Amino acid sequence: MKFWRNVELDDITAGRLAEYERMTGRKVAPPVPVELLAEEVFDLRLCYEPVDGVPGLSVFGCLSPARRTVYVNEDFRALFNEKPGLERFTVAHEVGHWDLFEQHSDQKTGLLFGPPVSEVLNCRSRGGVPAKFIKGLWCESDNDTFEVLSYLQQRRDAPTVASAVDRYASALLMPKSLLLPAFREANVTSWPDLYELRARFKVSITALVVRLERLKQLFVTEGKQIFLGTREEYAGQQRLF
Amino acid sequence: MAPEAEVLFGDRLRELRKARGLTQKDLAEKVEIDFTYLSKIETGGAPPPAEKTIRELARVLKTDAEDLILLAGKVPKDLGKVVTSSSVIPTILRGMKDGEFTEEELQQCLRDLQERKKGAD
Repeated sequence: MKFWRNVELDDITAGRLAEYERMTGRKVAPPVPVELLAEEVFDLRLCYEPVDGVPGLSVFGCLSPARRTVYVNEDFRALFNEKPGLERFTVAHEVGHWDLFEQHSDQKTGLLFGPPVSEVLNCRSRGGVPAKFIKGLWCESDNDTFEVLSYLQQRRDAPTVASAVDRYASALLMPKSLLLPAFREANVTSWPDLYELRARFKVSITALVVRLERLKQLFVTEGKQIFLGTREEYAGQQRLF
Repeated sequence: MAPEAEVLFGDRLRELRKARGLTQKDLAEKVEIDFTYLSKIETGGAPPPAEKTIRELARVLKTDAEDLILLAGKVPKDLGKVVTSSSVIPTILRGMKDGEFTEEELQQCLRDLQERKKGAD
């Protein structure tokens, strides 16, 4: 499996945004229109459905490659309303699955225990897979469901895949070309400044901080202090004083 | 599997929405329906909505409401009245159902009628 470097993901997502602008004639500004981009650039559908997880586990969203559909779990509606950044990141994560791993994959027409792998769903989750979906789509009995479920639980986003699609989502929602000027303009010195930036990009504060750290713009210390520089620079400064 | 009318209606709705640069949430808000319901309509997971909602969708999307209603497999209410108050239309419809008249024959009749009307004017 290919390991995607950050610079590659930045280039790919920048290309997708440019493609969206060309296709629609609309200039992208924050917040990045991730739903429209998914539909226009990749012809993916978006559907809000309740997606049952395994008891004790939950799924924010999934991708059905065969149906070219991103499913957002309707059961999390209240949470998504409260944290729109989480919902947008979920959609962007599934778009990442499609763009990086699925759209050119033969797996869409492959087989899994007889039923088509096409319906194997890539899940952004807190550790779950959609049992109801699996059953509804291609399992005839509870035993089938159990078998497929067990397989899928092992197959759930491998760390390298999850890492790539999460970094893809981060780069798509906070493209360098938009985030860096906005960050400079915001003249960030405190958390309220960061929260303002987060609202502008409609992402979670965690996603924003991770992205800015990745772009070497800031580092949040253990004491939750914002350091304008890299982790290494911060460590170097600590050693000086 | 969703019936064909539902899929066609959903696809058309999605096309029109995308052309306007609206997300499902944007459109649902303008039409005052739930966005999750709209997403299901678009993906064929729910049947097309009531005529009133279709008309509202057509208004926001600046498209012909009658076309959308027919695509949804429904007969617009005002046309329904015409059908029930006419003695000829039910006969034509029955004839079509029984295969007595083809679409092509009816198209020809319509053209003849329109020609005659034009001539009379």
